[in-house]
Amino acid sequence: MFLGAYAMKGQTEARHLPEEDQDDSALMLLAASGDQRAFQKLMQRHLVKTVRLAARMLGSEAHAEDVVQEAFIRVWRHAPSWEDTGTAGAKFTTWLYKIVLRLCIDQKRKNRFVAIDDLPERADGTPDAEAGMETDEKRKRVKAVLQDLPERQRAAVVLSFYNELSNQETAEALGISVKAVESLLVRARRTLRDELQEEKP
Amino acid sequence: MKIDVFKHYTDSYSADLSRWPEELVKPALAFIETSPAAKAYFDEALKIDTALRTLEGRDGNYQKLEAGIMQKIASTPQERKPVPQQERSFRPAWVLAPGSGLLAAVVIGFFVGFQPQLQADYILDPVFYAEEQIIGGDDADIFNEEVF
Repeated sequence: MFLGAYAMKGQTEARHLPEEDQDDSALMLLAASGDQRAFQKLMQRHLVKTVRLAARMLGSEAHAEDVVQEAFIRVWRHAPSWEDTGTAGAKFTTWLYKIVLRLCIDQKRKNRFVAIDDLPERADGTPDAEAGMETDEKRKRVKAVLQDLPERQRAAVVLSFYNELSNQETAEALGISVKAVESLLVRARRTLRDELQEEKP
Repeated sequence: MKIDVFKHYTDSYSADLSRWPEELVKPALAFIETSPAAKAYFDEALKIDTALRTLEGRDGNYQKLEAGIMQKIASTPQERKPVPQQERSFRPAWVLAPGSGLLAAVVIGFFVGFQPQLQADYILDPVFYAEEQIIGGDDADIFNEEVF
């Protein structure tokens, strides 16, 4: 009863703020009451980073878009019970990334084979094109090394480096301790160091 | 700061010192200045960060994806929190409360029933209320006895 009244108060307060000023929690409260505009605003804020997270986890942007679509539908469906999900107090992004990571793992299990790279091939031989090819080769190499990392190490690197989460937030998204995250990052970066040094002439 | 500790921090927080805990930044910078091994390790970490940045996404256009999601949302019902129902299942208290009251009443009744009925005995005491005295009346006996 008390919590319900508190949620109602939050929704009322959230409605009085301009959308740009509303934080993720306020928008989630509005989305929980069925406000599709608030949900769209929330999605627009996080769509690009979420697609990139999924793409780096899966190695394919096409697969990533499927995962992200499913993730946001789940967010919408479960928005009314968001505060009861056990992540109360955690940031919305931590909850969202957790959903995306789980879907990525499911997706990987379903499709053992995932395209390593979907970059367009370049064919011309101009200096610019050659430089571009070199960059593309480097990207392919980094992407392949990243994809070869064990799943949890890859998730730790992607969340902390690309999604710019703190080690504490990464730990919450992965459901592990900060010490464990640090351990994953140390091992991942040592592998990256070894693998990327090997390509040097 | 020892080199192993420095390496651990560099791998945990990357070569971007803005990600490091504030209290470690100054000692780390001082260590890089004084230790060639630390400087070499930090330079390697910078190279890894640069390599990882080559994968930083191009600004994709996700309008189609966004429109697709919003279209799906429109036909997706939200899962409302179930309204807490009053508990209808059997509760032992429902039987125990009236049952224990009934039992207490039986026990009290049992003890009360076995108490000696003093008042009834007194009333029917044969010494004072012998059949012949009741029939004859007390007054008659008074005159028969040599009291006067």
